[in-house]
Amino acid sequence: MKHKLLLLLIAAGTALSVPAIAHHSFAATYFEDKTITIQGKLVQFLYRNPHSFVHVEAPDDKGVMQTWAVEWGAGGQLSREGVTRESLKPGDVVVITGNPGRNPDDHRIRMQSITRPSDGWNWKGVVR
Amino acid sequence: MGNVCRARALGSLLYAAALIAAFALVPSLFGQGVIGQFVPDVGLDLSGNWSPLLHEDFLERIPGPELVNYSGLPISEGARLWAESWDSSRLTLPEHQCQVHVAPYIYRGPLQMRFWNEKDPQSQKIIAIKNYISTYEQTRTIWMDGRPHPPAYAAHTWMGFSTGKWEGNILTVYTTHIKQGWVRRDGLPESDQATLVEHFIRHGNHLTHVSIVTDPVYLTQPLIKTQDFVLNIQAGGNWLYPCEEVEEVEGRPKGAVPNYLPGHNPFLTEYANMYHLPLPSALGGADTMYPEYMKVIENPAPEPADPLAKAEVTPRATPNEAPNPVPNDGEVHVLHVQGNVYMLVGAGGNITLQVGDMGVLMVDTGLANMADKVIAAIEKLSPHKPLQYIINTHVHPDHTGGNIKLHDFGVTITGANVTGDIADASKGAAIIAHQNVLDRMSAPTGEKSPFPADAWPTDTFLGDRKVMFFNDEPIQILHYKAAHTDGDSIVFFRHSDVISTGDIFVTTGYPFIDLQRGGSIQGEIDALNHLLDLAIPKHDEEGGTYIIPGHGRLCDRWELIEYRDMVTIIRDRIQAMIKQGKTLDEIKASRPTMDYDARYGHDTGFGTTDQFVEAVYKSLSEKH
Repeated sequence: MKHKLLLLLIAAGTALSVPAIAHHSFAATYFEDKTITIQGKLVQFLYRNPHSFVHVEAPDDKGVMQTWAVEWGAGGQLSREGVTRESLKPGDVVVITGNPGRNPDDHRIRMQSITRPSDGWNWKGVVR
Repeated sequence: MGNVCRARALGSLLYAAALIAAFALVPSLFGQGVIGQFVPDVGLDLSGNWSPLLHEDFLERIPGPELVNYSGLPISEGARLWAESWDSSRLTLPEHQCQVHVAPYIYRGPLQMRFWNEKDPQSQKIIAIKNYISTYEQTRTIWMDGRPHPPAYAAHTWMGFSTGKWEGNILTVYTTHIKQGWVRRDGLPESDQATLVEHFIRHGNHLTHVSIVTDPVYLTQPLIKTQDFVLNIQAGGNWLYPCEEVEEVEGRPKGAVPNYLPGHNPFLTEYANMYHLPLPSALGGADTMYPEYMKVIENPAPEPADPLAKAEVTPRATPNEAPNPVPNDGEVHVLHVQGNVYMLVGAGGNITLQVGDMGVLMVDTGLANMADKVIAAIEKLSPHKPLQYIINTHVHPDHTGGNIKLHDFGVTITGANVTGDIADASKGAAIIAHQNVLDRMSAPTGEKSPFPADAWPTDTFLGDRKVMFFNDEPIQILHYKAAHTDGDSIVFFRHSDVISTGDIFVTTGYPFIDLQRGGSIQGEIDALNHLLDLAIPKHDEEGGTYIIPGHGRLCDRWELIEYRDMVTIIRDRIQAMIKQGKTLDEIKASRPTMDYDARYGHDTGFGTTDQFVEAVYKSLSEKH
């Protein structure tokens, strides 16, 4: 009986937690043991599935301006965590911290936190 | 034991026997015995919602596997090089973003799934077991009615074509026609030649899924995995997994395919070092599957001075002969693609037919000796309306050999103002091609022509396109200047949404770059990239625009993507070696195509692997 109850709980938990998993492997795509912080102007906010993206114009570690692709949660995950399609606007200055991509030419980051200093709006979490 | 006890025991036995008898009677009372002629299906019922037990292999399934972690997988040498060349940045390309987990892998996905039976409304026999898998919104159909699998030249899908049967309480499923995908999400490939045997075993509210993948291209032994599910009686949950491609990385050059040159993967030793494993164990292979391999890990051989040396290519062990899905039976086989368009295989190069109220338009005419059988196939598809147009995609005789007979078989229907005024206006179908095709087939007056004059195109164009409207369909004929040859055209049926590519794209080998007739590797890659721009998938890189290759099986955009990737990666490798000053012989000896040879390589006959490497080398070196 306990076994059946456990299975049902696992089933219910699985159905309700709804992980929005990328088709790619995070370990294969990002340096999960490193972090990078950028500050720049938001160019585009793609609120979508399976993952949202934020594109930001910000300098790299050599001071050269780059367009960074920051991978964020799925639309469903973000909406549960209070982020909507209107949360960010083109031109917003934001500070982003996350795991850098393995291919440096891609200027890619897996989001860990984002802050908009002008009004203090922020998000912090785990992109799944 | 006393009498009372014996009586109780006997009573219990009788009671149990009565219960068993009653339960045994139930099916006959409510089955075929009492109510009509209903015959229950053999086997259990899998119907219902099932949730995966994600804790099984959690690290691989949810966060994802590490790079160059190939442990425990019976991969071939070619698969290893394929994966070592794989840069995860490739998944940022828009055309790769919605790649689906193939059928053998999708049960490792995170979301729930649903089974239901489709029954014949009259007999109530099961026709098919349907399986909707939320991960990537895939629906599998497991046919239970004994139908055969499609021919090898039919299109492949992510879920493949499945037939099933109950073996006691186990549903056994056999699947073919699976697209190329991966066996692990760190670049390890699974080829489109893989087949799958599955066993679905239900134990009450628990379901065990056993998958056995056989891949003659990238596995040296069958790969067996199990995963478990529990019945989920809760309503709701997530059933959707939409994916739309976007521009993730800006500014990347068009046609670039991120890859590591052989021996240059910077992460080759990362996983092995992280877990203090000898590198060979991380590089996988059949021996790493078995418990005995622990002895090797505990007593590893001394590491070589250069760990990358282990990843270098080795001499070819077995000859390669790429699979050909077209039956070699001397017959012409017809496959309806979609809309007005059909594919004919078996006559040499593939032939495309567009059939409608106005008649027939065909792309390429196959080999000369197959023309009568091609005509018979056309007459069957269009018994009352004539062949009016022939389009030649290029000059080669396996695509133009039937020109004379097919031209004579067809008619040209001209405008009313000229009908009757021009003697041959209604005699013979028009043969359309780029001017370069005519130039290659003909010769100036007084010189010997390589093709008989009756086979020559009758209607040529000089620019990069010609358009037509036939059978209620707009048709574009698009010319590429220097790809397979200098006279290549593709034909895009815009309403039917089918593209006929000629030999720019084949599934039976590497592209044949005909340098003598103006072909080039860069033109070939440019043409493949342009074809990718034209094709639009219906859902997650499947369906939508269908592609009829010059040789081989029916495809959609996904096969074009993989082919473009392959040609581009091999180009990159040969180009890098030319920059290093390597000779053609040195380049051939390094086997720059090794990871693709088991799928596309030919050691003998026309269009060998060596010829391809040589053509790429000469094209890049401009030494031809």
